[in-house]
Amino acid sequence: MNVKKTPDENLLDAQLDFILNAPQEQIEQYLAETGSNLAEMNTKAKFAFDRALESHAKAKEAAQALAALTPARQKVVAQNLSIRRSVLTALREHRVVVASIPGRFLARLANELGQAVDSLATALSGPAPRALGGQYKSDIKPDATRVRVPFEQLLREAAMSEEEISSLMSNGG
Amino acid sequence: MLTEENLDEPVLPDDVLATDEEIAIAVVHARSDTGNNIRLMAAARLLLDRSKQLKRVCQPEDLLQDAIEAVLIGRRKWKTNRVDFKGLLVGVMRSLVSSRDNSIKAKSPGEMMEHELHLVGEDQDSQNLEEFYADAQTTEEIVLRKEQEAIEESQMDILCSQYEPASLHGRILEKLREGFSSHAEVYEALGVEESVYRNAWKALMRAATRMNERSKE
Repeated sequence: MNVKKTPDENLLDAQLDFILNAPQEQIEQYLAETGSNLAEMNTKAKFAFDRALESHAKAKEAAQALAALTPARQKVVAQNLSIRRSVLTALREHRVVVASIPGRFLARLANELGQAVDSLATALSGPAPRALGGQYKSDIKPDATRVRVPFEQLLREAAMSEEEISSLMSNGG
Repeated sequence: MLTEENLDEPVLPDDVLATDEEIAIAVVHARSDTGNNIRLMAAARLLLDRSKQLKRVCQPEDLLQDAIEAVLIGRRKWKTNRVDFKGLLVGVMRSLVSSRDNSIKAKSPGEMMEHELHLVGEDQDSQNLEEFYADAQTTEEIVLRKEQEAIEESQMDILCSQYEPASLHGRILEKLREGFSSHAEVYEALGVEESVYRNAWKALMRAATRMNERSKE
């Protein structure tokens, strides 16, 4: 369905088109005329790429740490977090809306995995990793990430008690 | 429900998705391309300047970083038949600004997850939510923000008011009101030379930038 854009959105389209596609000398001239420091912009962009690559490497590590939990370790982690195994499975399959996970729970899970919270949150927001052939037996479904549910709904679907849900959804303590 | 996880557009049967390897190569190439970097930063700055809330807590380089991360982690798919890598990153930045602006606007501090605002680079001190909202709730801030929102909401009107409707600048803006697909289409529809149009457009870009600068002061 095509939604008609507002005049301001059309203006933004045109501005971005100019920035992306104008000949190099024109874009540089425009930026110089508006007081931009081109060398500084280039340096900051490179830092952004470097930080993104670094963050991605950490997120990948967090995703793999979660995916590679052995059944025995899954049981321990689920016990330590006071959740059912099915909840942990959903987390391993990246089937949870990350923004709906209370920060305290995310921090506890990150701690169990020995990963940083931000890295785990980033990892969970992407697709679940494919099985690492030969390294561990994965029960992760390849397309599982397409359907995501809020954390609280996941807890209810796992038939956890109201008291347990309330405790897990609490961000304090 | 609007989260960053829902940003991706549906994949159509004819879409060609980039592999992880292709994305990694594109990232390395993009990083080493100075011209590309300048354009990406200019786009990030423009998008943030046009945001309602996000510009208060995010720098252009942080927005760019988050867009690159979203593509690397697979939260945003790169449909190579539709867009080049630079265009993809700009599209992701635009989606991020829109969703985060709406998210900040819609939620009260109690409902906001702190990690949803982790836009500031890891090596910088991020402003936590309490500080952000406490800061935003002063009377002066509220008045300024409302004035700023009024300016942002009618950027086209303000820009139009600076030019005679019959002038080339005024005619360009009037044409843009109807829609935009390419600059070539605009100057052809107006019957003007490309070089004449380009000069007029650069003047409009500068005027819009000055407007954004004033709204930040």
